[in-house]
Amino acid sequence: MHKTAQPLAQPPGGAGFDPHGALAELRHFLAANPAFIILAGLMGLGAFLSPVFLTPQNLLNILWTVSVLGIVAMGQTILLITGNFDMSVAYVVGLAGIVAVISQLWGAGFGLSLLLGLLAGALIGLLNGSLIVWTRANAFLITLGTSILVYSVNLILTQSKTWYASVDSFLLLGRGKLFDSLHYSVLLFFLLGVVLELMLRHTTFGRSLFVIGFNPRAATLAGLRVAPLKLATYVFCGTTAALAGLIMTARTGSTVANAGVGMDFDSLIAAVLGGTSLFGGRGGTLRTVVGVLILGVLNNLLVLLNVPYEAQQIAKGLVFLLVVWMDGFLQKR
Amino acid sequence: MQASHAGHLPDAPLLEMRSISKSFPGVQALHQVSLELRAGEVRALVGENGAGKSTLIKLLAGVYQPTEGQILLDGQPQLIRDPAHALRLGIVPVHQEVNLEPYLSIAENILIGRQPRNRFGLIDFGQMNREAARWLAELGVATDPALPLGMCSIAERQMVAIARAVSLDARVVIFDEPTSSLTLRETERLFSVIRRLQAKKIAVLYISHRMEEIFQICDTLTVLRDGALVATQTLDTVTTDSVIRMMIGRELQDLYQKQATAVGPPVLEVKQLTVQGILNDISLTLHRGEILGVAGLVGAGRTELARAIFGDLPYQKGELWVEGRQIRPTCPDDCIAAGIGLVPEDRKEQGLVLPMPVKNNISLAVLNKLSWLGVIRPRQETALAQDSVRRLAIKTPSIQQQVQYLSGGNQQRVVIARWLATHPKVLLVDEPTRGIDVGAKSEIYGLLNRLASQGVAILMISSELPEILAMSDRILVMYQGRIRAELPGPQATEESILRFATGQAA
Repeated sequence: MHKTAQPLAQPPGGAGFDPHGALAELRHFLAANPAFIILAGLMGLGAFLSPVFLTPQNLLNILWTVSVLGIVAMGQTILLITGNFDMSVAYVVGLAGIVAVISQLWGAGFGLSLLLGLLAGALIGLLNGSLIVWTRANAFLITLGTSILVYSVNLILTQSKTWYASVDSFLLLGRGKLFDSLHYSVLLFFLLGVVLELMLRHTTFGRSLFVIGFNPRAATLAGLRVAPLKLATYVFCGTTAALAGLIMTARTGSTVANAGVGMDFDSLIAAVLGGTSLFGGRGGTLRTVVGVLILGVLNNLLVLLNVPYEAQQIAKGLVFLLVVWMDGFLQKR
Repeated sequence: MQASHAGHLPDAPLLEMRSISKSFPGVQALHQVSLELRAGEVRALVGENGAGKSTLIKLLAGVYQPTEGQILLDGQPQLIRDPAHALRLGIVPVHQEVNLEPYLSIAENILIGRQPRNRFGLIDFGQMNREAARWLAELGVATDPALPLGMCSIAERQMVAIARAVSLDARVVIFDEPTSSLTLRETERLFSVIRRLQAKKIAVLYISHRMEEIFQICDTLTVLRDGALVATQTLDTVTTDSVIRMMIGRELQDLYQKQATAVGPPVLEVKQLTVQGILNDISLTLHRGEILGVAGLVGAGRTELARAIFGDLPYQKGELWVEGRQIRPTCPDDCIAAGIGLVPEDRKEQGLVLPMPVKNNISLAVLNKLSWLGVIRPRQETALAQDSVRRLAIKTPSIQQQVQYLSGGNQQRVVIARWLATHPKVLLVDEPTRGIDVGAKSEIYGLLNRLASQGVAILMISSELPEILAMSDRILVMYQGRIRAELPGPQATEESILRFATGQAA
C-alpha cells in the first residue's frame, strides 16, 4: 500500500502509452490524489440535490467566487512544498488593495497603482522570509506576528474607513470577462495553477523547493542555497496574495482594512485538501486548484440548499479537521 | 580467560546479566554476554566503537529489553520495563545532561519530585537546601545547593546527578565516558566520589576509552568486541597493551587491500584551521590520488573537520587552499564549486532525499549544469542517472525508484554518484560503510580505490580501524580536536592508532 504514494516530484507520463498502462496510471494517480474523487463526488451530489447546481451560470459563479482565494493559495502551496507557511496572506490581500486605491487617489494610473500594490505584498514577503531565515523561529508564528503588524498598517492607512477605487481600467481587472463569459481572474487563477505546476516539475528552482521541503539538511549539503530560496518563496507568496487583493478590490470597487480576513486558513485548507502536505516535500499547484474548487463547490452547495451560516461553518471546520488528519495519516504510511 | 574475583568482594553478585543477547532488525548488537557486579565493585567496561557497550548500558537502564537472557538483581530475575523502572530498582545511569533542569536550583534537581513541603503544602526551601547539602556533603562536595544548575560547570552537574542517584538509594551507578569533558582536577574529584560510592557498597560500572583512568579507579574489567564478551578479568592481571589487544582481537581482513597508487601533487591544503572549542590548529595536505584516513574516537572532531572543510561549519582561524587557490567558503555550494564533495556520516538524514527517486538524488548537485534557463533537460538528467547506475552498479529496479527502498550499500552509492557527477577533485567521506553489510562494504572500498586511482583525493573518516588501516596511504589520528599523530599507512597498527586516539601517547 505504501508504494502507491509514488514520487511526486517527477513529470507524469513516462515511456509508452498503451491503454492498459494509461488506465493503470489513472488508477494510480487517483489513489495518490483522492481530491479529484472528492470533487467529482461533490459535483455528483450537487447535481442530485439541486436543479440549479449544474447550470453554466452557477458553475461560472463558483469559479468567480473562488478565484481570489485560489490565487492566494498558489503562493501558499509553493511555501508549503518547502515546509513553510504564510499566515500573513489575509491582511496582505487587504494591504495591496488599500495601497492601490490610495495611490489612485493621489493620481496614480492603472499600471502604477497595480505595481505599488504588488510591491507592498512583495515587501511583506521579504520581511517574513528575512525574519524566518535570521531568527530560525517557527514560520507559522513569525508570519502570525507580521500578520498583526500588517493589519495595523491597514488600519492606519484606511483610518478604519472604506475607500473607493476611482480608475475604471483598474475595475476591469476584477469585473472584466473574456468572450463575455469567463472572468479574467478565473483565467489568471487557472493560468497560475498550470504555469506554477510546470515550474515545480521542470525547473531547478521547483526541484530545489521539493528537496528543501523533504530534507533541508541534505539540501544544504548538496549545495542548495536554502536561505535565498526561502526568501524567494516568501516574496512570491506575498506577491500572489497582493495580486489576489488587487483583483478583489477591483471586483467590489472598494476596500477595507480586513478585506482578506479568513484567507490565511482557507488557503491552507485548500492546499492541503488538494493533496499538498503540511510537512513539506509533497504537493503541487494543480492539486491546489482542485482543493480550491472543492471548497467552492461545498460552499455553493450549502448556500443553494439554504443551510444556515452556522452549519456552513461547522462543515468547513469538519473539512479542515478531516484534511489535517488525512495529511498526518498519509505521512505515517 | 579466567573469571577471578578480588578477595575483599562478597561472593553473591548484586547485579547479574546472564547470557544476554540483543538483536535489532538486521543487527546482532549483543550475543550471549554475561556480566556480574558485586556491591562495592568498580568494573570497567571497554570495547571499540560499536562493540556493544551502549546497548549493554541501555539494557540495564531499561531503554531496551534483551532478546534473550536474564538480568538478575539480588539473585531475582527482573524484567526492566523502562527507565523509570530501572531507577526504582536502584540502577542509575549518570549522563552529563540527562534529566537535569538548568532553571531549577541544585537542591531541586537533587530532590526533584520529592521536595519537602511546609504546612501550607508549599516547597520548604530551607529544609530542601539543608537536605541537598547533606547529600552533597556525603560526596565531599561543598557547592551551595541554592544555586541554579545552569550556572554550574559540567563537573558540578555530574556531582548533582550523582547526589541524586545516592539520595534515590542507588545500588548500581553507571558512568558512560564521565571524564570526556572534565579537567584533570575535576577527574580527581570524580574519582574520590566514586570511592565514596564504593564505600557505601554501591556497584559501579565505568565505561571509558581512557586506559590510565581505568587502571586508576577500577577493580575489574569486562571487554566487549563485536557484541560478544571477550574477557572478564581483574585489573591486576592485565596491562594497557593486553587490554587494547583484547579490544581489537580480530585478524586484519585483507578483503579490501588498498591498491598502490601514484600519489600526485597536493590538491587540498588546510592550514591552522581552528573552530572555537571544537577544532584546534588543524593543518593537513591531501594529494591527488591519495586516501588519507582520519581516525579518532567519537567526539574527537573528525566530522567537524570535514564540515569545516566543506563550508558547513564556520571557522575562526585558518586557511583552505584547493589546487593553489585559497577558498573562503560561506556555504557548501562554494566548496562544491571549488571541486569538493562530502559523503556525510548519516546518509539518511544528511545525504539523501529519501522519498525522491534515485534519479533526482543523483542529479541534485549538478542541476544547473543539466538545465537551460533554469529548465531541467529531462533527457540529460535521465542519461546522467542511467550512466551512474551502470557505472557504480547501483542495484535498483529503475532510476524512478524512491531511494528509501534501496539497501544501505546502494543508497551510499547513490550519494557517491551525486558527487562523481560534479567531477570532484576532493572527496570527503565520513563513515563510508556505516550500517552497510560486509559484502557491500568491500564494494564501497573497491569504488573508493578506483576513484583514488583516477586521481580523486580522498579524505576518509572512519571509526572502524581495520577499514582505516586497509584503505589509507596515510593516517591522521585526532584526539580532542587536534591532530595527535600522522602515521604512514603501511606501518600503522590498531595498537598505535588507539594509543594516540585515547591520548595515551602524545
